[in-house]
Amino acid sequence: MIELQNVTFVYPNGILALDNVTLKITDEITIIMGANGSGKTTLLKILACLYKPTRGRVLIDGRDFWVLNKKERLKIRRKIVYIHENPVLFRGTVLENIMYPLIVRDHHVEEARKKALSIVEKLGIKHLINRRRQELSAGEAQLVAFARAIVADPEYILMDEPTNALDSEKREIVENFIIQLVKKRRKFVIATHDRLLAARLSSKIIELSEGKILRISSSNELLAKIKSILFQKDES
Amino acid sequence: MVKKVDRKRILALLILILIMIVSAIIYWKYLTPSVKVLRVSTTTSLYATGLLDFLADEFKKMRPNVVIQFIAVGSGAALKLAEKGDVDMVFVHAPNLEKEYIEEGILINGTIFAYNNFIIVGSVNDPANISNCDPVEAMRRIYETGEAGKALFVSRGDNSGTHQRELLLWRLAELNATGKSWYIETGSGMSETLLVANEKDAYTLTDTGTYLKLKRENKLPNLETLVDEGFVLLNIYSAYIVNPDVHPHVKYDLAMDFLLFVISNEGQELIGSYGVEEFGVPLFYPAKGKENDLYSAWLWFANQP
Amino acid sequence: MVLSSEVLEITIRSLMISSTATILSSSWSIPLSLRLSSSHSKLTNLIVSIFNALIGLPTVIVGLFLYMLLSRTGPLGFLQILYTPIAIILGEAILITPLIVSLAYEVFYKARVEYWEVALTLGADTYQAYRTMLRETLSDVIIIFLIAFSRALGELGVALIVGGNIRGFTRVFTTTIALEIAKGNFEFALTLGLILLIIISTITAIIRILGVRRE
Repeated sequence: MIELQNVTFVYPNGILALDNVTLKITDEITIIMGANGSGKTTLLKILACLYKPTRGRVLIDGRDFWVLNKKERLKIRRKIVYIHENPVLFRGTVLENIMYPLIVRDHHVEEARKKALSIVEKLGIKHLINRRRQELSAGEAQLVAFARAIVADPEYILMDEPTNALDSEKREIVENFIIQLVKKRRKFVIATHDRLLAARLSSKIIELSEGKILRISSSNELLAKIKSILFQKDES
Repeated sequence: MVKKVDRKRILALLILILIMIVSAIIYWKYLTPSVKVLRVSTTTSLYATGLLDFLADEFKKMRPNVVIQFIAVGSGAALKLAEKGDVDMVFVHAPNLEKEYIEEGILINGTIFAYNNFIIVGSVNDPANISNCDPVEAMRRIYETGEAGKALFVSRGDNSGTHQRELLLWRLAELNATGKSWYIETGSGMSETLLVANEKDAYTLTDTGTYLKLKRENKLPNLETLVDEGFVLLNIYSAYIVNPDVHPHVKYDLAMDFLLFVISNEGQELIGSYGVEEFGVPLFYPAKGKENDLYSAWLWFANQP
Repeated sequence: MVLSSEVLEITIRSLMISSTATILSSSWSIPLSLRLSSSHSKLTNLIVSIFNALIGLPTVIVGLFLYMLLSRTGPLGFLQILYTPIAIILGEAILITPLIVSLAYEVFYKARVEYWEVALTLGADTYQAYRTMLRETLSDVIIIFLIAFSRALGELGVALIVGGNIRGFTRVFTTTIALEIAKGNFEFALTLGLILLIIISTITAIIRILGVRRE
C-alpha cells in the first residue's frame, strides 16, 4: 500500500504543486483527475518515489520511503513503475528498451529477451522490435513505454495520461491489458483527463485542484454524472 | 545495452589512471638515471637568439648524458625561479636585478660570459637628428622632438632587461617620458615593439639580435640603426649558479661544468662566432680578455638606482 | 623546414599532453557533474555557480597557482614534477575542469529530468541510472571532450609557466608559437597556428562523422 501523509511539494523555483495531501492507494485502480497544473504529475511522481516531498511522508507498505537506505529504496522502487505522459525511450532498439528493466534487475540477457518478446506479442507490437525511437509514432512509443514498464511485473503501475496519443484500437489493447493485470492483483494509478476512461476503469476517483484533493468519489458516481449530462443534452 | 554496472570497473579505471600518472613520474624521475638534467632559467630575449641552445648542443657533444633544459621567462622571473630553487643556473643580463640576489646569497659564482650593445633605432628620416650621437644626448633630443610633436618613442614597458636600460637612459638624461603622448608603451616583446616602431616611424631601444633578425627578413623597412656606441649601451650577460647552501638539491658540479665550458676558450669562440654566418656580424662578443673592464661596467650598472 | 621533425615532435607531444589532460580531467569532472546534476540543494547551486565563474579564469593564473604548488619550495615541491609534461597535464586538467563540469552539468541536468527518472522508475540502481544517463548523453559528452581538448591544446599560460617550454621535453604548440613570435619568426608561428587549426578541425570532423553514424 502506498500512503501519503500531509505531503507538500514545492518546486525549486518556488511553485507549490501539492499542498498537504493525505491519501492511501488501496484500490486496484485509482484515477486522478484535475485541470492542467492541478498537481497530477507531481502527485504521481511522489507516489512513484521519484520526487522527495518538501514536507510530509511517503509510506510504502507502512515504511517511510525517504528514511530508508539505498538498498531498501531500490527494492521498493522496483515494485513501482511510472510511465511519463510523453514516453522517454532510450537509445537503441525497441526490444532493447523493453529488456532494460530486466537487465538492470540482473536477469540473463536471453531470459530478458524471451520475456520482452512475449510482452510485445501480447501488445501486438512485435513488428516494432527492431525500430529505434525516432522511427516510432507517438502512439507506438506509448505502447513501447507501457510494455517496458510492465515487463518486470511491478506491483504498482502509475500512468500519466496513458491514452492520449493512442487511437481507439491501441487504447482497447491497453485497457484490456490493465484489466488483465488488475486480475493479477496489480494496482494502477492513472492520471487522466479522459472521463470515459475513468468511468470505465475506476473504482475510485481522486479530483485534484491547485495541489489539493477536491474530493474522492467512485466511478459509479462519475458514470451517473456523465449519464445525467448526456441525458440533459438530449432533452435540450 | 546496459549491463550490470559494477563499481569495481569504475574504481579500476580510476586506479589505472593513477597508476599511469605515478608510473610516468617514476619513469621520468628514476628510470632515466643515466641522463642528468641541468635546469637553467634565462630571459626570453637571450633565449630567442638561439645562443643558449647552440652552446648546450655543443656541450652535449662532450657530455652526451647531460640534458640542459632552458626555461625562458622575463628577467625578473628568471631570477625568481632561482630564488625558489626551481633551477640550477641562471643566464641573465640585468645587473641591477642580479645584484639583489647576489646580496641575498642566492646566486653564486657570477661570471660574465658575453656582451654586446643595445642600439637605438629609428626612422630613416631621423627627425630628432640623433644619428651617431651620444646615447644620453640622443634621448634628450628625442624628448624635445617628441614634445614638439615631431617624433615618437616606443617602449617595451614590460620591466625586461631592455626596458630597464631604457629607463636608465631617461634617468641619466634627467627626463621622464612616462605618460607623454609621444611615448608609447607596448608591454610586449622586442619583436612586437620593433614592429610597432616600424609602423609608426618611431624610435626605440633594442638588442641587436632581434633587430638584425627582423631587419634581415625585411620586416623593418622604415627602421635604421642610429646609435650603437656608448658605454651606457653596453649589454652584459652573466651566468650564475644557485647557491647549494640555500637549495641543497642544486646540481652544483654539473652547473659548474657547463659554466666552465661557456667561459673556456672553445665556448668563448663559439659565442663569438654565433650568428656570423646568418647575419654577417656576430650577435655576441666573448668576454674573454675583457673580464676586468666588463666587471667594472657591471658594477656601475648594478649600482644604478 | 616547416614540417621538420621538430614540428612533428611538438605536434605529437601537444596531442599526447592535451588528450591525457582531457581524459584525466574527465575522470573526476564527469562523475562530479553527474553527482551535481542529481541534487537540487543550495550547495549544489553554489558549486555550479563557482565552476561557471571559474571557466573564465585566465590560464596564467592557473599556471601561476600550480607553479606555487609545484615549485621546489612549494608544498608539492617534493614531487619534482615542475617543468615536466606531467605538470602541464595536471595544470591543463585543472584548467579544463570548470569547463567540463559546467557543460556536462547542463547536459546531465537536462537529461536527468528524462532519462534519470525513467531509469530509476524502471528499476535501475543509482550506478545503473548514471550509466544510462551517460549512454544517452554520450554524443553531447563527446562534444564536451572536444571543446575541453581544444581548450587544453590552445592554452598557453599553464604550458608556459609549469612546463617551461623546454626544447625536446615540454615544448608544445602554443609555447612554440609564443617563442617564435618573440624570435620574430612570424611566418613560422603562423604555420604552427595553421597546423593546430587543421588538427582541431580534423578531429572535430571525424567525431562528427562518427557521431552521425551512431545515431
